[in-house]
Amino acid sequence: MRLKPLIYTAVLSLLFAGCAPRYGANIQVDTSGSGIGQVLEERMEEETKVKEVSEAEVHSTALASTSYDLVDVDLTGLSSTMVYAEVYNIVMNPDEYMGKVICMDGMYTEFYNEALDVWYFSCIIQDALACCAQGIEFVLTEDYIYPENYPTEGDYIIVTGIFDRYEENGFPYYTLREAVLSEA
Amino acid sequence: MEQLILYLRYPFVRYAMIVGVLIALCSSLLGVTLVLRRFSFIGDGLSHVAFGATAIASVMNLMEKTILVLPVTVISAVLLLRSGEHRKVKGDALIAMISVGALAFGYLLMNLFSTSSNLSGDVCSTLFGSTSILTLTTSEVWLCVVLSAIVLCAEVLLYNKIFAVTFDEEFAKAVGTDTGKYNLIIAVMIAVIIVLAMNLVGSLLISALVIFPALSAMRIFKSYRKVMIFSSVFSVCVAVIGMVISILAGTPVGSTIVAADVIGYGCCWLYAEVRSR
Repeated sequence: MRLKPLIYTAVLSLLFAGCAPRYGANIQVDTSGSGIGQVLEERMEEETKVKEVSEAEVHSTALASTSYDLVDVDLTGLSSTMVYAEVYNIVMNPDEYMGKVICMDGMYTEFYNEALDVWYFSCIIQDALACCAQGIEFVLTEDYIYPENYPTEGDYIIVTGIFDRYEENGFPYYTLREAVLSEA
Repeated sequence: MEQLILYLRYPFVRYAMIVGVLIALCSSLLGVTLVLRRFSFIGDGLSHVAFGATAIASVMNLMEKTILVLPVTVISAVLLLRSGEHRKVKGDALIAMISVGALAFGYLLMNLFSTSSNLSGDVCSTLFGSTSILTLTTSEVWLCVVLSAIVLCAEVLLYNKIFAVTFDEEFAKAVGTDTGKYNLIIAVMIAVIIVLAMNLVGSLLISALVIFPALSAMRIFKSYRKVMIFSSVFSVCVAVIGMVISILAGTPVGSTIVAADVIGYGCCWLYAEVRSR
């Protein structure tokens, strides 16, 4: 029974990698009341169309009032094979990493869940064969306004946040809370 | 070097090293027997059978796929290694038939009844190993250690009998050796190694672990014992080198090990050529 939530987490990660749609002109925001949804709702209410976001804006670290001096798990210096294996380990054994500050780099991807009307953001890394992917969802701090300060899907990002757990529809999911983007 | 020491602090890297060494050791020992008996391609055929069984296990949503994969591979190995004098389909043709049949049915089943959101990823990692060796659970590591220990014990304890059956089965039979029993033991050991090695290099590359160490050793040494010893040392060294390169450089584990095997064979061939002149 314990494996079930882990499987859902893994499946969600893979869905991010393979099925995430690109956002177009009609971006919708979360109104479900979850953490990311509330932040996005506040920031997006006045937005009527998608703005072009420059590279400088996307990777700006000046936005973040939060910073992490001590990182418990730093994946940025590891080889791609090691990063893939370590992220797999995190996804399969989340309790061991709860509350730790994790820094990782990879491909930015976002996923919109129409049923829940929620946007999810994640950092995806691929294995050496480029056929499998592992990812960790993150929630940026309120300093980041969507979509201006968010990366473009497919961008290389470095994200740091606190590994945490949340529930949605009765299922546990794992995310990097209070996350900030760093210069690539 | 510092990077390697850092990586070795990760438990999954240490597990990978332990399992990789054990698989390389077992496969090289049996590889000598298989190459001498002209069964080099059997590893490839059985690995495809294991792929087919893995596909069925995936479709059935089995968490421990080994429960299904191991028995199916053992049965196939027994069928393939059984004395084939009275069979209508013989030797290489039978291996080819079972090999492609299992591969095709495996992929077909995964396509038709897949419960995964990443079918191509599943197929790819099963065929080429991907980073499976770095994502082993503790129970999988223990299973590998126990099965490897059994195979190694059998190989050491039955060394003389396996030697006799390998070189001249008819003579061994004539002097009262139960060749059928020892063929069965060899078949079971091959199947076990194939199933274990799928984690290391994937089902398409398993043959390399069986063939290259034995052929490399045969280039340099002529006695059975020396070939066995050199083959084991060669296989373990190459597997460790391949894994280290793969981890440091971020290359696919299986293909890096096999590439190291090919280069190692090239070095042995060169050494043998230089020595003979």
